[in-house]
Amino acid sequence: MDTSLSEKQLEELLSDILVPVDPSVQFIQRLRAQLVTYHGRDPLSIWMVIVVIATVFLLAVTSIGLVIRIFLGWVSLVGIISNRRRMKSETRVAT
Amino acid sequence: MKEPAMDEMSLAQRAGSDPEAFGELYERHVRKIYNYIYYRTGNVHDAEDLTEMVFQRALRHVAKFEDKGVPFTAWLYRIAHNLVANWHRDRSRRPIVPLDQHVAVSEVSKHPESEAMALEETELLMTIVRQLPSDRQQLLILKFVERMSNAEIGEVMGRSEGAVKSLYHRTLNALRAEAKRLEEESSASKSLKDEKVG
Repeated sequence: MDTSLSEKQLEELLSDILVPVDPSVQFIQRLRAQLVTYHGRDPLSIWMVIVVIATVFLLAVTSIGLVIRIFLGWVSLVGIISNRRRMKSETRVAT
Repeated sequence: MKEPAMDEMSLAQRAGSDPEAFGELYERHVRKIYNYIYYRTGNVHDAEDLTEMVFQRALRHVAKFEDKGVPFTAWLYRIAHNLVANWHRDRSRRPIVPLDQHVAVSEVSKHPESEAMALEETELLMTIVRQLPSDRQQLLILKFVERMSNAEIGEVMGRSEGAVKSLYHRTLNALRAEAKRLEEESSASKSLKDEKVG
């Protein structure tokens, strides 16, 4: 390379090297199609997120209700059993 | 650039909800962005991948795009610039540009020797260009590939026209200095080889 290049010569050389390149038509079309699909999917995905959150919330609320019911049932069962035992022991003492 | 910029601003503002508007912006800019990335990465495969990422990112964020005096083109170039910077960070080595794919030979030489020398010069210059800091590479790509004026480059790079002009001259000087250094290095090694042979 001629290192004593003037600025103008260097610019000409750069103009020859740095030229526009055309991407392939397939690439342009494929990417456009992808972006259209992506665009169409975007609002749907927001709704999907909302639906998923709402479902999780409802399931959580329902399962908490169920857990509370089971707990209360277990407590009352324990109460009934202990009450019967206490009554039995009282009858024995009386006889 | 001023008139389409106005038009582009309204397209950009609609692009978040209107696929047609985004499609129009895509058609206008995809080649520019591809070219920019191609020259920054040096290969078609990565240029395609990164161009895809640029437009996907643009589509995700275009609804938040605001008219702050920065053209939409500049916004896209910034996305591309950031993605290319990440790409370079992820790679320890810089790939060599496959010159045979893009170098335009204006006049087909009838002399293979001179053709080979021209190709060698081109390769050397391209290697030097690719060793420049990213902002200087960006400047050269915008100036020579996109044929932008200093004012337009300034808009894209977020600099004043004067700053672009100054950076351009410093870049040319750096290119000449580096070319000279490489030339001296190669001639020194050549004479060393000749001495050994002798």
